[in-house]
Parts: sequence; structure tokens; C-alpha cells
Amino acid sequence: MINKNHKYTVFIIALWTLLFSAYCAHAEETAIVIKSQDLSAYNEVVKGFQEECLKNNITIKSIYDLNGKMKLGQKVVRKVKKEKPDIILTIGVLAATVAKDKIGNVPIVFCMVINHERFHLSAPNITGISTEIAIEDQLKGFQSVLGPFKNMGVIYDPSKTGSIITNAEDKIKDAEINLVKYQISSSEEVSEAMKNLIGKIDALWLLPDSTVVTRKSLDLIKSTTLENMIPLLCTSDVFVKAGALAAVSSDYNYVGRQAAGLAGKILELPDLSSLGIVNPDHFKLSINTDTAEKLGLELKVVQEDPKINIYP
Amino acid sequence: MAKLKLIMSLLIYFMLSNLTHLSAQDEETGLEDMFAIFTEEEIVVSALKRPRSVSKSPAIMSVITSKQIKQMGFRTLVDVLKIVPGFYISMDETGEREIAVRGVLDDASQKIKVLIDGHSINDVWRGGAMWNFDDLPVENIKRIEVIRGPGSALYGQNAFLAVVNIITKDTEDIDGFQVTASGGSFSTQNYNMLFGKEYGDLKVSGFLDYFDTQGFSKKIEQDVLFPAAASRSPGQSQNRKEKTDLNLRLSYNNLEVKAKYMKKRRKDYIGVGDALNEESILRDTYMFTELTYKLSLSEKLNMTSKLYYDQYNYDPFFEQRPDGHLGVYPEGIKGQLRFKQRTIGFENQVNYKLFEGNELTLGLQYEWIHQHDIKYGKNSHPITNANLTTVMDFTHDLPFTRKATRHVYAFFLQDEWNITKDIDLTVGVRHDRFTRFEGTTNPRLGLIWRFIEDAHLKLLLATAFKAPSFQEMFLTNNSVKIGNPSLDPEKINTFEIGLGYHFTKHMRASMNYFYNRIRDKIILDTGSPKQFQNGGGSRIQGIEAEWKADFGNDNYVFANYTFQDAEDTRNRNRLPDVPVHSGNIGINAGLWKYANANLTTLLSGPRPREDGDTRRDIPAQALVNLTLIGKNFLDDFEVRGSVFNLFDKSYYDPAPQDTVPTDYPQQGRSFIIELRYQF
Repeated sequence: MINKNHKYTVFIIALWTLLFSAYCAHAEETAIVIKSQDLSAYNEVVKGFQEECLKNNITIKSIYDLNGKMKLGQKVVRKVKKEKPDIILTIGVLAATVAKDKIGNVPIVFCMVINHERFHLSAPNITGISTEIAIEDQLKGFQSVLGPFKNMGVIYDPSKTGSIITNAEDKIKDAEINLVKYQISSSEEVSEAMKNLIGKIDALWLLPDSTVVTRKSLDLIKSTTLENMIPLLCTSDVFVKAGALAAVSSDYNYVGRQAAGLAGKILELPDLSSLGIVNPDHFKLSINTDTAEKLGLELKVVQEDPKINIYP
Repeated sequence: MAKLKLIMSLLIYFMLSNLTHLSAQDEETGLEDMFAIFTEEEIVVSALKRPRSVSKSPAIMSVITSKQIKQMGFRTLVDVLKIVPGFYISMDETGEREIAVRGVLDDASQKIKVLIDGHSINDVWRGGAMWNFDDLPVENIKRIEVIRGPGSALYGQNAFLAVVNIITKDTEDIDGFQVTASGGSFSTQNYNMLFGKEYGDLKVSGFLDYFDTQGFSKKIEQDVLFPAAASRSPGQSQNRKEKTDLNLRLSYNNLEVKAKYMKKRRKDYIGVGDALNEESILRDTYMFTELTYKLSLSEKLNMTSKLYYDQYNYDPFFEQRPDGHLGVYPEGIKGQLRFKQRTIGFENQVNYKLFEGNELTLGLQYEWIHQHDIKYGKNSHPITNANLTTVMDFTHDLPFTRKATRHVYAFFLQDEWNITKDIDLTVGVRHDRFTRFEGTTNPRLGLIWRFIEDAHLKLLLATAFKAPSFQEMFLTNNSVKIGNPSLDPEKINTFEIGLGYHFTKHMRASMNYFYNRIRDKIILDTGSPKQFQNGGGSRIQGIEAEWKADFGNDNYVFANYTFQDAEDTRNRNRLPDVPVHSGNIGINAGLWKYANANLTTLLSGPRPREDGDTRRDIPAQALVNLTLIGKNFLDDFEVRGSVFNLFDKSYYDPAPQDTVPTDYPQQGRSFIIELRYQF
């Protein structure tokens, strides 16, 4: 038999629980994800973001997909504004551009934008994670595979990846590596660039530059480097899967997690502000053993490291 | 046959399996993702390319965005142009807003070319666009690009002192519906519906706008007839207006159709001839349609073809003098005018990338302009002014203008060359040939040098022309002024030098010097009646400076200043009615996500009188406008309130000598409240 006092106690506890839940629900921060298109790399970021948001008490209200179309931006932005999120994660340059142009009063975290400087994404409400791993870490990774090397070639379109080169040059020099640059403005010049670089370089650094890397030119780059026993070093593991020797690249799941971490920090700030653009805090080294074998490289030591991704 | 089928089947099988294999391989490695990201980059790059930034444009240019228009509470085109350096707006006796640019104020603002999405809306009767479009609604405007300086090398006639290009919102910008209702002082009401939808490849956008106001009314102590018994002064000025505006834009792949319809009825403010009246009513209808086809022949070669039709119906009833005038006109002097003007035009433009960083533009244009359906009725004889008992039809015997046709043939060529990363050179020339006067060739040269990061220097040289308007050529049977069919175009030579600098990412400033020399000005002579003649010229030089500090989140401060020294080349008299010094100061505060506040001050120095006018200069003035926006408190709903002339300052626009001695009084404090819903 429950006496009257117990009833009151139960009632007060229930009421307190209800109020506390309501307070907690209110205190919970909300996020929205806008991805530029439906790509497995982007979905991996979303996955990481979702996992980390759970830990940070951030609720993801919606995930929008622009389907690679800028014109969907306005519609998505309108929906986003209706939902009034506390923070927005954009994945890919399209989503970042749309959000930057149309949303000024909600903090935005962007990621998966190659060479973000090219797209002028800085704003007081924008924080970002660059796709580029710090050049020192890239070189360390490459040297762990190849050992010391002197001359590293690079083909690039200055209008697309020029700033990556500019930012990296001094640090490459500090690592006592000579960067042999070749500028192109059209993918048709890749063949000429390769001819020019052969004989001058010990390795070729392949940047995610759409003038340099096309379906056609990638085959040419792979075959030319293999024929001339030049290791092909990249900034994305997809090229390693496709036959390049090694890549130091970000882990997409970790990028999502890092974005959630940044979101948590931004939401703790008293005012709308930016944490700037940061490098990915996790990266991975990927190696293609078939290619290594063709190049005659001995990889026993690195192969044993469980942190290294081995392809195929 | 069976063998052939088998071979074909095998071939197709191998091709397909190979393709599938390649694609599967790409998918497996993630290369498809990488190429998809590259494609995404290209989409963004091409979207960011347009519009070209002010620092890269080979002109001294101001860009006003829809956001600024909304924040500053602007409601019409002239409201927006008030904040452009070098521009000054004043009102004439009929209530039409006239724009002075770089020290020159002329009838109907005919030295400014106004374009809506690249389509000219200058009418041929007066040569300007302000008679019809000074009150163009701004609700559907995405941005306004104002080129301060000549543009005839690309845009032809009337791009003399400035080019105002209005870019309207398209389906992407609207994406749905927006309904706006507003009301305020002087029984003003305005309803606007904006729409934009995509149905597959078909894009439909447009707007409907209805505007009605009693307008502000001021006491006019003396009009031109004062102290004659017939004068209605002291009396009230009038500003009643009713207007309907429709816009439609349809596009399907490379094909686009644009259409506009505008119908307006209004009273004239003081009256034609500066005599207060009651009966005048000004009626205008303007419509145009344009068909555009864009063809991309290769990566380097693009072609745009336009075919367009414009129609302007002018149908006013004027009470030039009130009842009892001079004791001779018991019914006053009244007249009914009418004409229609049609323009059919064709333009073809080809853009060819000669090499990386160099783009050549070639174009040709043809226009057939025809004035017809002329009607003229008056209750006094058009030449002798003898009183007639009723309004008589003079359409056939003594028409006020005549049927006329003008053909315009034009060819233009422009090369934009990005010589180095930091130097751009633009060279262009356009030749226009008109029936009735020889052709005119107008070159243009623009050099931009980004001499250090964040700073640019512009050197610009150009000539431009203004074709004589039909009024200047074909006005006839008029006791006051008549046209002159032998007029030549007015010409201008311009030199400009501009410097722009981004001090920090939050602060930028620019300054430019201009020197204009106008010749063969079209002016009225001193005969009786007065006739339009080419004569004399002007020399204008000045400095325009702009500064803006943008702290993000809609928090910004801006200021601009204009100095203009405009004089007649013959007698060195200062050109009248335009201030030597003017400027604007504004502050916008995005207070928080629910509110925005904007305070803008329009400043003007004294405005000089014309030579021989002994009245003191129109005094300096400072007008403050305040706009508050409330947003985000209800989904898709916004409220905006503006107070214009916040401190209720009395100010006047200049009336010519011997007309209204105390000038044209302007609007005191007024307010408007607007509700906007988007769905």
C-alpha cells in the first residue's frame, strides 16, 4: 500500500525528471549536415560525425544532399533555416560555397574541400578542416617507404593547386628535398610535363589537381612512372588503390569525428566565431605492394606496421 | 547476315563489358569519387566566375546587391541609385525623377543607359528610361551593376555618362513564391508576388507588382502664373500614382524568353509648364519581349543571339494652363497627345577564347524603331495659341510630332586580355550607323594593374555618344519648342583613373578621378519657338571615393564622397542644379538573428543656379533614412519598416528660372511597413 507521502514523493520525482528532461532536451545542441553529393568518401565523413556527435550531446536534425547541383542550394538553405540548427557541417566545396553565401548567422564547419584557399571560404562564422595533410607529415610518410630521396617532381596547374605548392615549398626545402615543379594549364600538357621531368626526379608527387589528374592522364602518369621506376606519391589513397605507390591522406571517418569535435568547441564559445582552418588531426599511410614490387622496393618493415593500409 | 549479327553482338558485348569493367574498377578504387569531387569544383568555379569582381572589371563600377537593397529599405530604382557615388537624383515639374551623373543633369536622364538583364529600356521619345522606370520595383532585383563612365563601345547609344544594368532574380534565387504587402504614408499600398520554379529543364520566374499612392502633396506658394488671377497658387502639388508591373522569364535549355509589361497612370507634380493644375493625367504603357538563344559551339566558342520587340505607348492628357488663363482661355489650355513606338531588334554576339586569358567578343546589332499612331488634340491653336471653344483634333493638320522610322546598324568588337596574372587589358570599339546622321565610332581602352596584392589601378579611356531623341528631332507645331531633324549626336571623351585597395579582409576603399569633355551638346536655342541645336560643350572633372568596412554578419559601415567640377566650355559657367560636393554615410547592424537595423544619410552640398538666375543656391541638405527588419521569429516571415527623412527636413529640388520661385518642395518624413512571406 502506497501512502500519501509516497505518492507525493513519486509525483515530485516524476515532475523533476520531466523538467530535467525538458531542460536537457532544450540544452541539447543541434546540427545539420549538407553534403555536396552522395559519395562514399562523404558518407564516411557523415558516419564519423554522427558517431562523435552522439558523444558530444549534439543531435543531427537532418542530412541534406545537394546531388552535385548548385541550384538545389537555395531550397536546402531554406529548409536549413527553418530547422534553426546550432551548427552546420558542410561536406565538399559545393555545400561549403552554398552555406557560406547564404547562411551568415549560424556557425559552419566545412570539410572535404581540396585546396580550400581557392574558394575563399573564410568568414567570421566559418571553421574548416583542410584536406591537405601537413607537408612535413607527408614527407615523413613517403620517406618511411622510400628512404631518403633528393628530387621530387610535381606537375600542377597554378590556378588550382598553386597555393599548395607555395605553402609547401619552404618546408620541402627544409627536408632537404629539391622540388622540381612543372606548371601546366591544360591536361593535354601532362604528357609533355612527364617527358620533361623524367630523368630529373626520384619521385613524383601527385596532387589532387583536376588539370593534372584526368581519367586519361592518370593512366599515362602511372605507366610512365612505372616504366621509369619512379615512385608515385599521392595525397589520396584512391590513387594508391589505382596503382600509385604511396599516399599520406586523411581518414574520412576521422575527419567527421574531428568536425564534431570542432562543432562542440564552437558551440561552447559565447559568440558566433571561427576557429579558423585546421589540418586533419589523423592521417594514414597507404601503400600498394604490387607497385612497390614492380619498383623493386623492399617493404617488409613498413608492411608489419598495423597502422599502414596495404593495397591491393 | 547471321555472321555479321554475331560479330556485331560480340563487339557490343566486349565494348560494354570493357566499359563496365573500367567503371567498376574506378568505383572500386574510389577514383569515381575523386572525379566527382573535381566536377564539383568546376561547378563552383564557374558559379564564382560570375559576376566579375569590381576590381577586375574594366570600368569604374558600383554593385548593389539585393541584400543591401533590402537592408537600406529601398523601394524603387532611383532610391538605390541615390547611394551611388557621382549620382544625384532630383525631381522635375512633372514628378519624374531625373538622374544627374558626374555633374550633368539633363532632361529625362537620357545620358544614362538602363538595362534589365541586358535589355535596354530607354525610350526613344526622350532617350531616357526614367520617365517610365524611375519607380521600377526592386523586389525582384538580384543586383544592380552601375558603370560610372561611358559604355557606348559596348552598349551603343545613350551609354554616355553611365550604364545601369539591373540583374533580376531567377528560379534559383527565388525557388518558390514570395508575397509582399506594404503600406504607409500618403495612403501608399504595394502588393508584390515573386515566383520561380523549375520543371525539369523548364525554368519559370517572374513577378507581379501593384502600386498605388496618393503621393505627398506640398503647398506651392507661387507657380509660373502667380500672381495672375487664373493661377491656382497658392495651391497643393499632386503626386497620385497607380502602377502595374509584370515580369516573366521562361527558359528551356539554351533558349530564354523574357517579357515585361508596365502600365502607369499618374498626376503631374506641379504641371507641364510649371502651372498648378487639376486635370492632367499622364498615362504610359511599356512592354518588351526578348528571345535569347545561347549556343556553345566549343569550349572556346560561344554565341548568343537575341531577337526583341519593344512597344511604348504614350497617352497623356495635359492641362497646361488652368481655366480662365489670361482671361482668354475660359477652359484653360488642354491637350491630348498620343503616339506608339515600336522597336524590333536583333543582336548576335560571339565570344571566342583566342588563347588562355584572352577572350574576343564580336557582335552586331540591328534595330528598327518606328513611331506611329500619332494623335493630337488641343483646345487652342498649336502655333498661334488662339483659343478654341473645344478640344479640336490636329492629328492630320498640325500634329505634335510625325511618323518616323530609325534604323540602327551596329558592329562591335572587344578583346579582354589577361596579359599577366596582374595585368588585364581591354580594348574595344563599336560603330553605330543611324539613318539621318553619319555613323559614329566609339573606342574604349581599359588597363587594370594589380600592382600589389589587394590593390589595383585602373586606367580607362573611352568615347561615347547620345543619339538625338525623337522629341529633339521631331517635335513640331509647338509654340514653345520644336525639334530639329538635322541634329548630330552628342559626344563625350572620357579619361578615368581609379585606385582600389583592400586594407584588411574587412576594409576596402577606392578612389577615382574622371575627366569628361562633352561636345555637340543638344540644347535649345534662343529663337521663338526655341529649337534644338548642336552647340557648345561641357568640361567636367571630379573625384569619387568609396570606403567600406565589413565586419561580417551584416555589420558594416560605408561612406562615399563625390567632388565634381562641371562647367560650360564656352562661358565657363558652372553647370546648374548639381552639387559640387555630395556623399553618403551608412551603417548596418545585424543586431542578432532576429533583427537588422540600417541608418543611411544622404548628404548634398549646395546646388548652384544656372547663369543669370539670381536666386540663392539650393542649400546643402542631409537626409537620414532608417530601416529595421525583423526576421526568423516566424518561419519564412519577415517584417520591414522604414522611415525616410527621419528628421523631417524641408528640402527642395531646383525649378528653372522664372517658373516656381521657391523650387519644388520635397517629401518630408514618411514611413512604410512591409510584410513578406516566402513559401
